[in-house]
Formats: sequence, structure tokens, C-alpha cells
Amino acid sequence: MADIRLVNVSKHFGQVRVIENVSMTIGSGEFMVFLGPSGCGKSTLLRMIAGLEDIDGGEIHIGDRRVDELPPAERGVAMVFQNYALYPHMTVRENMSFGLQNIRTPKQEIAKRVAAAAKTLELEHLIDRKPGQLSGGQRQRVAIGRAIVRDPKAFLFDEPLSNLDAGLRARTRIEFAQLHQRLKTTMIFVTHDQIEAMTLADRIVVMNNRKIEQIGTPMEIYSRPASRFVAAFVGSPSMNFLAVQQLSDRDGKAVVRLPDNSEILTGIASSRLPSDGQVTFGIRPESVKVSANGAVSGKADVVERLGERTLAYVRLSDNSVVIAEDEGQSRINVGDQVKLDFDGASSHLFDVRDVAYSAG
Amino acid sequence: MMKSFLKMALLSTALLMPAVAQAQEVVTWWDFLGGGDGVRMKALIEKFNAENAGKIEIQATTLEWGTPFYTKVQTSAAIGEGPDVMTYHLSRLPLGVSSGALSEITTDELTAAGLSGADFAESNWKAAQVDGKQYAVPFDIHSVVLYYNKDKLAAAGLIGDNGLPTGLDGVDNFKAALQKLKDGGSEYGISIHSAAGDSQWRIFYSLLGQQDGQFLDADGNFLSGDNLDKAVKATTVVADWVKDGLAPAATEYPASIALFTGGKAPLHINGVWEVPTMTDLAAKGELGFEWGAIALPTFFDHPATWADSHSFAIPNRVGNEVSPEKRAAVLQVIAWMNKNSLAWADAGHIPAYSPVRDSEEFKTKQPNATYSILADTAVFDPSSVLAGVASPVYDAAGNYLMPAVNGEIDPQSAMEQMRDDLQGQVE
Amino acid sequence: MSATDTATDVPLPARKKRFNRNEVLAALIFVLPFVVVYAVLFIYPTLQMIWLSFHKAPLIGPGTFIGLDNYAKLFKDKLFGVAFWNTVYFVVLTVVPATLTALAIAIGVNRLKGWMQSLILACFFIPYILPVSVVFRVWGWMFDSQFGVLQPLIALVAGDNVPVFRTLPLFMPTVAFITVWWTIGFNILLFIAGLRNISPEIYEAAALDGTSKWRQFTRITWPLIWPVTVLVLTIQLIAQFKIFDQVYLFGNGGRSDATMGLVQLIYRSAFQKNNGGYGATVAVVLFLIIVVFSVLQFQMLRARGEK
Repeated sequence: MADIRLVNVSKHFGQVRVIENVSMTIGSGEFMVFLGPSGCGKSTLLRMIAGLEDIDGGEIHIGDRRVDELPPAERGVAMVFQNYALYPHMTVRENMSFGLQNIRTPKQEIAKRVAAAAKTLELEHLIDRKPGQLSGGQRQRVAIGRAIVRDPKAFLFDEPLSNLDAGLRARTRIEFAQLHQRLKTTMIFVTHDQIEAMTLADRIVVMNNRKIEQIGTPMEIYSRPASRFVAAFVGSPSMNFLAVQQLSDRDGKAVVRLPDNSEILTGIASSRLPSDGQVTFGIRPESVKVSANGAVSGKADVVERLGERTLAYVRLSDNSVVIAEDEGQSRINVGDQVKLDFDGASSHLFDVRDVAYSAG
Repeated sequence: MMKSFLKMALLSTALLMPAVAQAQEVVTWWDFLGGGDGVRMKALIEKFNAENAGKIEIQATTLEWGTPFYTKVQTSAAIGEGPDVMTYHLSRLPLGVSSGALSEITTDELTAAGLSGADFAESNWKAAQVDGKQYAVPFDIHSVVLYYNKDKLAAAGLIGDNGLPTGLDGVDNFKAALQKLKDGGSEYGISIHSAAGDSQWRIFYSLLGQQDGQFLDADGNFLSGDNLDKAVKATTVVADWVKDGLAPAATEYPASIALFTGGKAPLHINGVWEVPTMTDLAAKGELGFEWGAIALPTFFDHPATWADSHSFAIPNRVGNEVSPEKRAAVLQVIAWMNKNSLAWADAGHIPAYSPVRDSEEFKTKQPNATYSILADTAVFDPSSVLAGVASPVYDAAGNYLMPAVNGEIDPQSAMEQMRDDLQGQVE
Repeated sequence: MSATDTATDVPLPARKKRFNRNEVLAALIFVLPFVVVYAVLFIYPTLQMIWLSFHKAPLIGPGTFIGLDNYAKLFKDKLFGVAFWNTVYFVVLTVVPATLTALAIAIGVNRLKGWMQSLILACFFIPYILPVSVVFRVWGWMFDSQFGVLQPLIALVAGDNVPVFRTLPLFMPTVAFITVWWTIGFNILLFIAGLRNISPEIYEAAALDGTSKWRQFTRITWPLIWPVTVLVLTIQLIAQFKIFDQVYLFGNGGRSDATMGLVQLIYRSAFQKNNGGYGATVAVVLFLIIVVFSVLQFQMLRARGEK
């Protein structure tokens, strides 16, 4: 177990910069998730920690060692690849033993560790099969087993769930959580799936365009997004964004006028806001309720019934669309005129420099 | 639609028919003349086509000399897809006839074309027959000659008062001359194509002939009696040159010529067909010395030189016979070529057609006139299906004679093996 | 690596009928052209050749039936023995060296990037597109005993120029070397295709597993490239058993009885000596040799790979 520290790490391929001055510390035993859209640099960052990519600037420390000059095997990390990268010509047992044989681990020790890992991962009955004879989920467990037997200081997972079907993915997600609880090892998990990030992470690193947008616990990320990108990327359905016609003040709190001229009182102190008054209003669908007493009205374009709740895509008079929530047994239909109640206390404002302001 | 198309086809055929009948005969021609002599042959063909425009047109293709040519001729004859006329080595004739590749040429056909046996040397004419039937018309007699670098020979005192090489007759004399030339600063005394059996065969057969040796006797035995000893002697002559470094070992054909033309060897034994090479180089001023060619010296009892004849033959065309008109045209081509064969003498060859050979123009043609004696002293390859260009005898020359010349096998043992091998192939 | 679930135990729904008439008809239409061409251009000539081997016959035209006489003659023919052992010698000199060299070069080329890789690959591949006549001329000139550019080097070692194609012990090794040079490009291409098929992630996994370069080759690359190796070996074996062109050209005019391979014996018997029956007999025997060797080799090698 060890912490991982990145100091001003940079990377470029030719002229293209893929990572720019990234710094962060991943605590010992922490489950850290790198979240971001494809191409944001999260996998590259992971591969740089693993030693599969060189870094062009900065330092990487694992525990008390600086590792950025070390070959992958000497960094004490184990990695599970997106496509598992099992050795196709070796049995499950050989796949798990190979790395230990490379470092001349005694045979008995290898056998012991492989057996333990196989037991943990319920692979005992598959131990003499080759990867080609295994299902996707089984291969994935073998890949994890191959990482476990090496008893690494940290586990690196590169989108390990993306090749599984939806049901299996949900189950395996829980297994990952359990695995972390049991091993209590530092883990870095790369994904573009915000649900995986929210459910697994101790902390999330949200990345976009080769830069870190925000580092924080899942709830921090969700309730206090640091940028409009984070606000939009995390949460499903996505946050509503509406242009602000005019910014005013009521008792120290900011009041925004929306394009349809309705006014909403936010929980954000006016004093924090930029003087130019140019902001965008953001609010999550669960904070916009369909209500007979609502102050804003519009027409339901689309109605999605999700069972425990219903989502209505409501077109306001100025043609902007707001996603609102209603109860599961909603009676609204497409084309209905509805009234919406905005819970301004949980809204967000974003200024032109993409600085976010959240209530509280 | 179909009907009118048919009608049109018939009509056009009907219209074309007389035109075809009157149109010129196209004579398909194959030869193996890829060297300096090939250029002369192409000129002859062009001249023929110009003179016979509208009547006969030769369409010529040149193929690879030797085995490739003869295997192609044989297979194409068997399926009737061969040419209308082709060049053919008389030495190869027995094998060609036995494999059914050649079509007999009748006396009537020859007469119609204005050719007769009387126009050729008797031995030459007979060599174009198998079992008394004519299968070819001789075109030339070609042989090997001794090319010499006059500047180097003069320096070594080997040029006589008549301006020709002298003091080369006799095995020891010749070797001494080679030594003298080598001592005079040449890399070799003589250049020979020592890496292949065919060239060595020509020298060997000449030396055997100079001893009246018979390679194949009348009873069908190879190197019988004292013929074996004569063969060993003949082989030893050349093997000694190589052993003593007077001639290059295992040297390929182009290299053997380059050694001579490059001035590294003042003597060179090769076929008359390389005369154009020397003529052309000298004309371009690229030779750098005065050259000449004489008949092979007499190493043993009397002059004798291996010789072969290029001839014209008509392949069998099984299942695809040609029209009488076409055959007449082919015979005309053959007759014309012979009557115009003075130009062919430019290629170094000696015309087979006596009226040309006896003409004043030929008698003054150099260097042909210098070595035209070899027409009288020629020894032709044994008449056998095992002999001739690209035959088992040529293969055997590669297998036994060539290594013996290069010192890989002792001449005695080489000749015995060669004899046994060929005898074993007699069916 | 696909995520297909091959381990599921759910049986496929049983099919009612394996074929229906239309499918059979369609299948026939699709395979017919190949079957016809195969039958006309391969099966029929092969049967003719076998039939011809029981005859004393010229290359073309009818002959007389003589049963197994040709075969009896063949096993007493000294030349057949020479040709057989020359062929085997040539196969030994070329097949394994060509395969291993190709693998080594392919691994090297595979590590290069971009245009450099294309350039080097082209350099190795260009000889393969040359016709044999050009290969013959190029190497004939380079090794020419008088003027060859390689002779100064040879003289440095041997003390004097060496006519390699007229020195029996050097003949086959030299021709084998030239053949490897000539044909290796194709093998390299096959190996590169095979190497590219190995996911880079596997090497990354190996790097994280702390695999040494040597163990990476022996335990990962070699086993994963093995199927391609078997293919290359088999193609090579068949091709080299049929050796003719190079040996014929380089040996022409020389001691062809000492350097000839089996195909050359066929050529000489059938084409040069017009003995089609005997030529066919040698051809049949060569055919059987190749079938036996290649099937044996392929099975043995595959069995090893499956272990």
C-alpha cells in the first residue's frame, strides 16, 4: 500500500500535448477514479503511472520512491487492461503465475498465491482453461487475479468494465467495491462512465481536454461542480443550462431572470458573483418539479417514464428546453401545458471564465 | 436481330474471302540468334520483307538458345502450334527427327523453290538428312576460331611475315607461346569459356578430330579402343593450360570474351558468331588493339575443327497442317535466305550455299577468308540422337569434360566416366 | 479478443433439418467453378501423369504399357538418388534457415516505426518480386569468377578467386543462400502480419509482469507466432522440394548430374530426352514425397503448437 503523487506531469506526442502540468496526490488505500470523455487524457495518465508511457515533464512518486524513470515492473503496480490482455496461449493458472515466475518466486509460493486468488475470484474450476474458453466476465476475473497475485502497492484499472454487457457490468461494479474493501490497496480506476465513478470512488478526478477539471468526492463533484463541464458531465440526465437575461439581488442572494422573463431566487450570495453579471444558470432536473404552483410554464415535448419518477422535457415560451422531474405516476402527456417549480436553493451559476458558483 | 447479325457475318466473310486468298502469306519464324549474329539476321529479314512486300511477310521471334529453344520446338510441334519455319542445328537433327518434331521437305518442294542438293557441299547436304529423307536446308557452316590480339602477339614475336600469327602449331609450341604471352605481361595466355561443357566440347572435339579420333564409332560405341586415349590427350591439352594458369579456370561466357576484349588475354577460342562483337567494338574504337581470327592451330596430326551448321527446318504441325501456299512461301523464304547469305557472312559464318561461298565477294571477305579453310577441315558432331546441341553429349561435356579441364577430375577418369555414362544412355 | 461467451452451457436450439434443397443448390453453384477448374487443371493431369508413369512413352503421344518397369528403373537409377539427396539437402539448407531468418528480420522490422519500417520492409521484399532470370544474372555477376564484385572479398578469405558455381561443395549452399535472399520477403511479410496480430496490450501486460526480453520472446512472441511459423515452414517445404529454376540456371553447362534436383531430373527425362514415361514416374514419386513430408510436418508442428 502506498500513496501516489504526481507533480506537474506533462506529456506530448509530437506537437500534440496530451497531458499538461497535472499534479495530484492519491492517498494510500484510496479508490481514485479518473473520469472523463474519451480523448481527455485519463488513460494516458494511468499508463504514465504504470510506466507504459514516458513522461516529458514532472515527477511521479509511488510511496517514497520516485518511479518515473523506472520500468513498469519495478514500480510495484499491477494493471488490468480494457481488453484484459491475457496471454491467449496460457491457462488461467499460467496467466496468473507468469509474472511471479519472472521474478523467480518459489514454486510453492506461486501455487499458494494463485490458489488464493482463484478462490477469491471463484476461478478454481477454470484454472486449467485457456482464455479462449472463458466468457468475458471470467476473463476479467482472471485479469484481476493476475494483478492480485503480484500483491502490488497499487492497482490500475483501465476501463475494465467497458467490454461487459450491462447486467454483468453492474454486478462486477459491486465486486470491485467489495474487492477494494477487502484488499484496502490503493486503486486507480479509469472510466468514462459517471455511474461507475460515483459508485466506486473515494475521490474522482474529472478530466477534460488533457486537464484536470476537478478533484473531489463523488458528492462534492455532484453537488458543487467546479466548472460547467463537470456539471454537465456528471449526473444523468444532464444538468439544465439556461441563459440569464438579468442578474439582480434580493437580500444578498442572486436573482436570475430567465429568457422567458420568469425570475428565480438562487441560494448564491450576490457578493461572490462577477460584476459584469454575465452568467449561465444551471439546475439539475431533480430540482425542477412539475407543480401546479410552479412559476414557470411551458409545453411538454417528451415524457420519459422511468418508473420511480418521470422526466418531462418542457419547452418554455422562448423555446429553451428544461428537463423537469415529476412523480412516478405522473399524469402529464406530451403536448400538455405544465408549470414548473425551480428550487433555486440548489442551483448553480457559471461565469464567462467557467468559474462555478454553487449555493451554500 | 440474331438473324441479321448472322447475315452480316456471312456477308463480310464472303467479301473478305477473296481478299484473304490474295493477301500476303505470313510466315512465322523462330530463331535462337540472340547475339551479334541476331542483329544481322534481323537485317536480312527486314530486307526480305521489303523485297517481298505484299506477297510474303516474315514475323520473327527470337528465343533462348539451346535446351529452351529445342524443348519449346518439340512441345509446340506435338500440338501443331509451332512456327512455319525455324533455325535448327544440323547436329541436333537426328534427335529432332526421332522425337517427331520435324517435317520432311520433298525434292519437288525444293525444286519449286529453286534449290537443289548440288548447290551445297555434299557432306553438309547429307547432314540435313535422316534415313535418306531431307529434313532441313543448310544455311551456314560455323565453327570455333582463334581470336588474337595482334599487338600483343607481335610484341611476343608471334606474328609472321604474312601478318598472321605463327609458331602456334603443336601442343608444346602452343603452350610455350601462351607462356611467352603471359610472361609478356598478360594476365592469361588464352581466354576460354571454361565454366561450361558446350564451349569445351567444341575445343575437345576439334582436338579429337586432329588425331582422327572417333567419339562415336560406326558400331554405336562411345570412345572405343584407342579413341579413349586420344580423348584423354585432347582433354589434357586444355587442362594443362588451366593447371599452369595460362587459361582462366571456371570462367563464364561473357567473362571469357571480356578477358580478350579487355586486353587481359591476347588469345581467345570462341565461335565465329562472336566476329560481329569484335567488328562492332573495333568499329566503335572500343577494342584498343588490332584483332584478327584464324582457324584453330594444328595441335596434332592435321588441321580439324569442330563445326556445326545452322539450317532451316519446318516443324511438324500435328493436327494443324499448313496450306500448300504457305509451304511454298516457306520454301521461298529458305531459298531467298541462302541466295542472300553473303550478308550472313558478316556474322562470321561461312555460307552453306556454294554459289555464295564461291563468289568473289566472299573470297575477299575478312576475317572469314582467313579461316575459310575450316570449311574443308570441319568435323561435325556424331550423328546420333544422343549428340548435338542441348543433347546428352553436351550434358556429359558439362559433367565430365568441364571439370577435367578445370582440374577437378583427372582427364583419364573423366573420359572413362563420360564414355560409360553415354554408353549407358544408348537404348 | 472478443467478449463472446464461449463458456455458456446453454445448448443451441436444435435445428430441424440440416440442409434444405435450395441451400444445397446454391452451394453447388458456388463451388462448381472451382471444382471444374480443379478437376480439369489438377485432378485430370495428375491422373494422366500417374497413368503415363506406367508407360514407355515420349513426352507427347502414345506409348506402350510397361507396368511398374519405370519404377523399378527409378530405384536403380543413380541419378535419381543424386537428385533426391540434392533436393533433400537443398530443403535442409533453405527451409529452417529461411524461416528463422525471416522471423528475426520481421521482429526487427516490426520494432521500426513509420516510413523507416516501410523502407526497410521494401528492401527485404524487393528481391521477391524479381523474376528468377534477374536473380540469376545479378548473383551470377556478383559471383563471377573473373569480374564478380564479391570476388575480392572471397579472395580475402580463400586466397584466390573462387568460381562458386563450379565448385561442387559450394554450389548448393550458395544457391540456397541466394534462394533465401530471393524469397525471404514473403515470409517476412507473413511473420509481420502475424506479429501485428499480437495485441500490444499483451506486451504491456508482459512489461508489467517484469518479463525479460528473452522470456518475452520465448514465452510470448514465439508461442503466439507459432501458427504462422508452421504455415511458413510448410509453404517453404513444398516450394523448396520443387526447386528447379535456380539450380538449373546456375548449374547449366556445368556438372548438372551432380547438382540436379528431382524436378530437373523430370525436365531432363521428359523434355530433353523425350522420355515422358520416366519423367512422369519421377514426378509421381516427387509428388508423393511432398505430400508425405508436408502432411507429416504440418501435423507434427501443429500438434506441438496445440500442446
